[in-house]
Amino acid sequence: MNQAVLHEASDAVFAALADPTRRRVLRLVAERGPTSATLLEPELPVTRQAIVKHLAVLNRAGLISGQRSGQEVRYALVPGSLDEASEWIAQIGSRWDERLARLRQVVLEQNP
Amino acid sequence: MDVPDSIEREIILPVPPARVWTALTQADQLGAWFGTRATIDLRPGGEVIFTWDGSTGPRGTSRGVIEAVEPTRRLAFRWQVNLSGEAPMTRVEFTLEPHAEGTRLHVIESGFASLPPELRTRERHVEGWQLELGELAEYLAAA
Repeated sequence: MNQAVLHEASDAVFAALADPTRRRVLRLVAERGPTSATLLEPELPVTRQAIVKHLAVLNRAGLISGQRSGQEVRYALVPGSLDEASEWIAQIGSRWDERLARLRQVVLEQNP
Repeated sequence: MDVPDSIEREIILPVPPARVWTALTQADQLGAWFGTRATIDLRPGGEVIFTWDGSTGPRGTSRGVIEAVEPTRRLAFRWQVNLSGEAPMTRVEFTLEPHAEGTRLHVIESGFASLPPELRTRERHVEGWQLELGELAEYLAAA
């Protein structure tokens, strides 16, 4: 996968994650394993139809994949699909770790 | 599992909250631990500016706007996540609490998932990649 394709994929991932309800849907799919809109409905404050739409967006972003099971589609997390997004966040987190370590020095050095 | 929209950290500092507050809000001290020069107009709506001179990493300026000021308890601002001089995008909130050993300082930076994609790409380009795994990646590995 070249860089441009990688970035496009990542953009779709971030766009999919921009909605808080969708993040919650993703989290539930990750925790439950293969699950469907019908199974998720009792756990979310939105309609089944809305859940179907959120699942479709997550599916298009490559974060989850679906398999038909009888009348419904069951979705599961795609392993590794969030790695790039979490690496970017981890990088910003490590900058906070460095800053807070320096803050500790600052308050200790200048403590009267 | 944390879907990547925010970063949270918490540390215990062996000094009283008033001392930590000074380090968060006085320009020279704020600059010292952000690794840059800082100016700060400490009031809601006031401006905070960080300028990196290039000696410790990329050169650049990040402007922010103060959102909340509760002396010795809470400080919040929005700031630019990248160094290219565009609109503020993420929100940083510090919360200070007295603790048996001094002060519990909590920091949360949030709003990453809503950033326009080109900002993330540029930031990545400037900083390069550190292949560290976040909590989410750990969770996924364990799942």
